[in-house]
Amino acid sequence: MNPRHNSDRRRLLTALRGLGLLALGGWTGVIRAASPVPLLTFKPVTLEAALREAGVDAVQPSEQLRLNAPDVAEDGSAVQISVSTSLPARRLLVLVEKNRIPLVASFEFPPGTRPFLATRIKMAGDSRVLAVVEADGRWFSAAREVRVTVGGCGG
Amino acid sequence: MVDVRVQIRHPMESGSRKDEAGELIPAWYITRFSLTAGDRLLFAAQLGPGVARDPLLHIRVDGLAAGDEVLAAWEDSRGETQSDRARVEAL
Repeated sequence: MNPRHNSDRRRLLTALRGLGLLALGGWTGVIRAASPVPLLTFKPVTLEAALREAGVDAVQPSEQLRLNAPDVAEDGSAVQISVSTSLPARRLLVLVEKNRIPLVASFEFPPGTRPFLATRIKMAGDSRVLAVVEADGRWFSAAREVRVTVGGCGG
Repeated sequence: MVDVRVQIRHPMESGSRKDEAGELIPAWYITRFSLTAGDRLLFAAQLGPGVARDPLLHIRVDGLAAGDEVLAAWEDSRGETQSDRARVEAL
């Protein structure tokens, strides 16, 4: 999984620009997963309420879930994180405990797609970042404490 | 395995930021995203305003070959929709 040793791997790099691309492919609609995840709301609530509203009742920490995030992020407007797991995870939630809106996003991995995700998130200030995955009907979590030098208006 | 990296140009305004005049900038962010190859759903996401500006999504997919076409589609909180296609390249 080390990106330095993946030269044998096929790789697709898409650089999508948000303007004027509609004519390229034609809009076909955002396709939702086969097992529909309820439409989430991104509201200013507590972490616990955000988890509950996303359908997470009980969650337990798992060492089989890895959340990579910096110990210190200089710019809270774009903090690079990645999540990977050996669990058969089909759904991933990313949350920032102390953001005004803790829930950052929900991701779905259909069969054939590895439970891996890298993205950039906003952090308003120092906080715990959580990755929560659903695997075999149970929820597992991993957390990292991230210090933020300049906050990024975390939504 | 294929690494798929998608970058979408979008302001991802949270609705809690103020402009230079001190006025709140309205929320405007991508809400839903999907990646497909033909009939196969590769990935779906619901995003909130906590995803950074110009969202980057990096995922890993099995069962794709060089030349396969993938379609990325997204919708934002104003109801605007966009999509784009790309082909898998062998490196």
